[in-house]
Amino acid sequence: MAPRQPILIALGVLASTMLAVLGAKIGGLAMAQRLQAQAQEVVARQGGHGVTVRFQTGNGWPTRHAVLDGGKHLNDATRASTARAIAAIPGVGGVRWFNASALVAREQEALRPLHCQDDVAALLRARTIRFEESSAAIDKSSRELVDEVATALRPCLGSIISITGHTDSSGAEPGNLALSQERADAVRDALVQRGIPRDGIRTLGMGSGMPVNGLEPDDPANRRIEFAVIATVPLKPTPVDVPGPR
Amino acid sequence: MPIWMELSILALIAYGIGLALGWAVISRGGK
Repeated sequence: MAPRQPILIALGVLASTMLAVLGAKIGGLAMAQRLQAQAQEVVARQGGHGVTVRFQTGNGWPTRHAVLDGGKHLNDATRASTARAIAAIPGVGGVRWFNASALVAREQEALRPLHCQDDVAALLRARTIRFEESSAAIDKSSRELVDEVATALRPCLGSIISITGHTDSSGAEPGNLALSQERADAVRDALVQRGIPRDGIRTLGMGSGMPVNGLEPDDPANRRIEFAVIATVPLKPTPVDVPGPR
Repeated sequence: MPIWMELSILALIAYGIGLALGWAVISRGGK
């Protein structure tokens, strides 16, 4: 590389930056003002009375990222819908409330509930966990399905996962009850082996007492394992003893 | 982020791509 080349490249960097700053100086303020006028229209349409919109950074530079303020008397739903409507204006980069760090526009995504139960239900709709005849040993062909169930349950760690075993009505009921419990326990053990914590799993054997809706109690399709994600326990930080003022 | 900063980032990316492409064309032509 010739000795002049790095200097030329650095000059190019400087020139592009200056061109960009100049461009922003000429068009930036007009753009921010246009966005502000559109945002104010949107605020009025959404009923966000008292909400002010600013397209300026803390240093007074024009920006595409709106900062909303005021509207403290409005309920959360109106505030959120106002913010989302502003975020939907073409050209707006992002929306946040003054003194709030979270991006309001992404609020809905952040609060989306976990779908483990639906995922597991979807897996088990087409296939079932099979057991060897009159035994609680999981059939070899179902091990892959158990792997997939464990993967689907992983996002719900911290929830209570209920595993219920069912049988058909062939055979004596006490035996069916015991077998359904053993099968539910076998599925729990298989999940524990795949990294799901044992203390978050509850098992229950129902015997033949709850056949599938629309099926006769002696139909073999009643032999099944059902999963339910009972409660989502939010992860709490370890409590720290903070001494009060003296 | 102010508009000038966003534009600067875009301009630098474009400059970098232009530089790389130019380099590739020149080095191929030199063979």
